[in-house]
Amino acid sequence: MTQGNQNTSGQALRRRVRLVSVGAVAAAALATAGVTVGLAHSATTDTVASAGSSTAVSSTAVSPTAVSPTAVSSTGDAAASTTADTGAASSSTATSTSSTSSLTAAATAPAASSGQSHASSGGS
Amino acid sequence: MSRLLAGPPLTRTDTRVDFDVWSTTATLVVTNPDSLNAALSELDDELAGIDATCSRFRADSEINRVLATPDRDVQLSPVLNAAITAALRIADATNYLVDPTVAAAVIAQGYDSDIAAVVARAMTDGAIGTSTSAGRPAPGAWRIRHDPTTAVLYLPAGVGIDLGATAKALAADRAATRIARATGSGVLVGLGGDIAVAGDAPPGGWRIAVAEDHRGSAQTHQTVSIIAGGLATSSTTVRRWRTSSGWAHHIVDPRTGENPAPLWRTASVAAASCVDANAAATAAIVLGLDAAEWLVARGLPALLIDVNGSARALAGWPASEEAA
Repeated sequence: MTQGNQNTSGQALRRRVRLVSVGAVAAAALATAGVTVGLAHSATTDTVASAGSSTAVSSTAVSPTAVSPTAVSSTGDAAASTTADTGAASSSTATSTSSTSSLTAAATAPAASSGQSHASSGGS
Repeated sequence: MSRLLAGPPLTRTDTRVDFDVWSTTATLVVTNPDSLNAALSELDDELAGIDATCSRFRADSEINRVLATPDRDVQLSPVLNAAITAALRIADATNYLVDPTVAAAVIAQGYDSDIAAVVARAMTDGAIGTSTSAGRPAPGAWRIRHDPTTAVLYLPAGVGIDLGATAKALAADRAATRIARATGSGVLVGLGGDIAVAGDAPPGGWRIAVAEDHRGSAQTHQTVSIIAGGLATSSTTVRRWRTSSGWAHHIVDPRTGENPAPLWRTASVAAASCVDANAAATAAIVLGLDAAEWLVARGLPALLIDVNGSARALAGWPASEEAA
């Protein structure tokens, strides 16, 4: 009985492993298809972006069916959209190659001060 | 190269000189009075270089020549290469909230020449008609191919570039750096409120009055001091004009091609450079409600003034009576 249960459990475990493997293969296939679709979209609608590489900015297309006017970057920031008001199917969004690019804070924050100022910072 | 600061200054002391330039004010302050003339010469050189390469209001500028030759690789001068590099880095760093390809939308709003001429035309005509292309999203800076190492730029047809959001701040950064290097003096360069400092700061730091209008005609919210980097203010209360569809100003949301929803009227940010400070201030106004979280996440000290005049100090910006 115990041995039978162990066999049953072993078979169930092997089935799970197979299912997980199949699932992983399927997911990989879907991801590959998605990338292919994305590249095809890029190639057909944004030849400039796909024509070459840039060390400063690159272009990556998302699914042609994407409708969200915004994208989320790896840092979770709201990103820009180019087709927010067009309703066009091709909602290209950008993924920068330089994900390390960021605005840099000063080493020392400004301090409260008083007296005669050296200069003014205001709208211009 | 033509000089921009050749005329008489607005004011001059032993350590400070102010000039009209680019329809705004250039301020130069040095800690060593003996260096003022040399510093002024360096500043003039830098402004002339930026003007000749980056101005979209000069028919003979390098950027206008580049814009006239799309769909091909173009070799850039070192100055324009630096300006394009900065603009694309800022576009990337702000997730395209500050994007140089907003040019067409800015022009469609009526900002098609020097701001003084735009305002004068609006006053003469009563209002400036907006183009039918107004309200179109920017094409996106990711469409631009640029190799900063070889200084080669490929600009697709239909993708304009307006360096106005970064070039002035870049000029301040570059001028401050070269003046400090050339003279050894501590220096502050202010261009219409975009401020960069370099070299040794004076005792107590560089004291900067933070206001809505750099000319000081508006209320000063507070005075802060910085010892390095930059401090910049973006505001919707200046560079504004009447259009056929209402008031417009110079800050355009690249996602919509229109002025952002009015929430913050002025944003001041301190950062490691004037370019970064200016970009963050502009992005804050574009972001609206999300600005505070965005600034805090990046550790960028900022003062935001909403449309009702209420101030909010963030991320280490010193509180004041107004900002508390």
